[in-house]
Amino acid sequence: MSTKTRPRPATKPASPAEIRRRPAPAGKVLVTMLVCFLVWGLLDARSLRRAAEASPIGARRTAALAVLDPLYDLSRVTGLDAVGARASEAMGRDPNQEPGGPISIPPSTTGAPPAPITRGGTGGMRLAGGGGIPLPPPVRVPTKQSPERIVVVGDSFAIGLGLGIARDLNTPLVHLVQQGRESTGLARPDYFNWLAQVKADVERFRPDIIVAMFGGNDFQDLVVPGGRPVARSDVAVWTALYEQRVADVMHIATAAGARVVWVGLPPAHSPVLPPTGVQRMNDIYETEAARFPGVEYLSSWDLFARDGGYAAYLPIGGKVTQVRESDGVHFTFAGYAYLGRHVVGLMHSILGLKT
Amino acid sequence: MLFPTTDFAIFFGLVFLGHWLLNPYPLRWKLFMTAASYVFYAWWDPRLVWLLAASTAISQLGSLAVAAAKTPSGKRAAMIAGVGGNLGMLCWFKYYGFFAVSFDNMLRSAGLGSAFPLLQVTLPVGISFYTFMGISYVVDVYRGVTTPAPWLDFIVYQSFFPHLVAGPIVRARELVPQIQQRRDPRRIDIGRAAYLIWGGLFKKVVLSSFIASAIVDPVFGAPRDHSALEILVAVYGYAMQIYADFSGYTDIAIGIALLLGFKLPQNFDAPYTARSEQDFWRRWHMTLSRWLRDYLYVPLGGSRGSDAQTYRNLLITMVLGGLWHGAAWTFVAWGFLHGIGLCVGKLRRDRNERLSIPEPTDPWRIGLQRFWTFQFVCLGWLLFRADSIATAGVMLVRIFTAWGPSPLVTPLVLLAIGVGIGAQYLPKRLPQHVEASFAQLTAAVQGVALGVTLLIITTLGPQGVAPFIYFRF
Repeated sequence: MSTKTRPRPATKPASPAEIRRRPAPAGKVLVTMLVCFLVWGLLDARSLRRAAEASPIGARRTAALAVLDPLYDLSRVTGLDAVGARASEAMGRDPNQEPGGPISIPPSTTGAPPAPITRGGTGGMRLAGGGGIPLPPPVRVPTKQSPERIVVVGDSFAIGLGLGIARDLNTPLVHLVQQGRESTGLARPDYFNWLAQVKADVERFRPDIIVAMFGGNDFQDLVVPGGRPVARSDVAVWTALYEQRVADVMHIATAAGARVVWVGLPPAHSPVLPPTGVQRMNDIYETEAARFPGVEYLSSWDLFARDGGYAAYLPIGGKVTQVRESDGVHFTFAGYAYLGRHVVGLMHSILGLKT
Repeated sequence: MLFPTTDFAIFFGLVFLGHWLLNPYPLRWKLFMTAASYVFYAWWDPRLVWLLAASTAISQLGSLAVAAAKTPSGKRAAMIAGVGGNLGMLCWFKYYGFFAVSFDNMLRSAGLGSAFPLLQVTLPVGISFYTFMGISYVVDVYRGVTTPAPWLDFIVYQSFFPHLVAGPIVRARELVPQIQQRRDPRRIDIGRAAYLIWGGLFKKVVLSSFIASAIVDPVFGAPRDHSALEILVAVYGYAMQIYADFSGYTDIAIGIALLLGFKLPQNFDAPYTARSEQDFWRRWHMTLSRWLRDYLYVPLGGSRGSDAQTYRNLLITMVLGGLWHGAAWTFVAWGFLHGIGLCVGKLRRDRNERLSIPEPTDPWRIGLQRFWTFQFVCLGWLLFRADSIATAGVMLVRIFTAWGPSPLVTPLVLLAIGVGIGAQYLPKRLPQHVEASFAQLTAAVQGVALGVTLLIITTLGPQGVAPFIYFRF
């Protein structure tokens, strides 16, 4: 260990251009970094504060907001937050939008305009409870000019599932819109409001079928806009509130005339999704699906559980295949494809999808 | 802890302060840097910290045993133990599932039942990188290229957080001497560091993320839904995405190390300007290429034997290099393809030498060489990114057959790919001038410039940051 070695330059100059480069002392670098983050913080305070608000409830979120609240106030007082807001607007974003940003709308591969459909329900947005909603009409026979419209919604499970379904629905008679979004769910409407998004989706796409898969991020305290969060340990209240949100999604979809395939959660091997949480949420999905005409529940637990619990490998088509990622939560692509095949099978057999 | 996150910004601010305050006190500085690096690693999963410690202990004990052994056979045994320990860890955590499933399916198809329990082993982030560093250290001590470093110096070397999870793969003789010297706090290369860090952030947060979400992910996810042009552009897009992602990460790593007074080796040198397969591997993931050359290709015999042996060695090296990237047949096929490319390149060079054909010097032919090399590399990326060899085959066929509307091929997608590739042809002196000019500015002006640039990057990029592609490897 050479404690008496004389300090040496970090880098040796190697070219005339580098010789002209002026090295900086550590103090100057520190000032540069502090100014940089202060300037960025002031210019982008609105986005930073919204991201902090959306983070999981706890000490980290409290500390982040304690730092960012005064910064945001200062940014507004000085008018600097307008720079960040204008920059966001220039990118076509609403500076006050949800932290995840808008869902991208993929262009139709057929070019055909969506045909009008008959609403099977009230058409209004009366939420909660499936009573009074008649059975939606049978899924119509699609044509190339007016393909079947299927929208996939939900968390990161839905992103992979959407790709799995796409592999099995390779037909010009289907227009598949994938609206899955990472790190979202029904627990945190302050982060991403799926009720509003599903409502927007049914109005925009007028789907024949909605495939929903939620719950990957939902076993946490439920945020109530303008109210106190409901702890997941408060089982009765938590269950009632979560049930209400699931029912609201089903109601919005079926009231607009769409059939729904609600895919339950698989067994997981992760503290994020303990078996009790998965069981609690699956019971809610299944119960609510039974209450709503036009909603079919698909148990991914039954498809992916072995010996009553988590299994990373399954025999598929005579070959042992890894179906779960090493995080113990998500599926591998083979897993999503397997699940997608079953969803498509259900759409064909029960919903009468003809493609 | 991902680099482009607030967590890391706070972490690095604290480390920067502690690092320079403790710089005059080597022992305290080394303890501090070890603790900081282990905290950085534990951020992913604290349970995996013991693996890093185990690799460090195996490598250091192995090298000390090599140095202490009196006989060549004793040295060799110690070296094999050090290398084997690291390789054993790597194989268990990275390849157990792959080989167990492959054997299981083979035995099932022969009607023999199962052979291994199908355990799912978590892949610890960075294990491929730090075990390779441990192996190179033990082998270098065995070869007499370097001597065993003191324990604490070696611990700092292997866990040094800028290179820990995705390289560059640094040799002990490159970093240990820097650890043993005091760094000069008056001579930080801020121009170069800022250029690398902010450029890396742009590549990762803006370029890589945009190309991935705009075309690569949708097309590779459901290739049958996409036209020939979409698939072709998605393959070029992936070439750009993986370059922007990985080189962006290593640029940030090298820049951060510079702010701490350390110089890490370069990892990329405009790889898509390569004129041949061999040239590509001199420019792409350079620290892995030289590792494979020095610790795999050369021990296999390199080019010292017959032509046939050289070809064999090239193929073995590249197939194992492919397997290093991941436990899947697609990676094996990718490595094999590059091995074939290197063999064909050697054949051509040998023929040119025999016939005294000089390398072309006219820009047109050089351009053609670059074009075809890029196409070959992209063929490799198709295998690399596809979820199976069958899917890669389907995509390849569709490139020639599935002509139709291509709504995903937008001017912005083409611009992003074009800018990414075009930037590699810029003169190397250009960034040096930018860096030199930046270094002349006052701290306040530098801070404002970097803050505004950060706003631009975060505005252009998506919310949230996807993990770096090479964290999986």
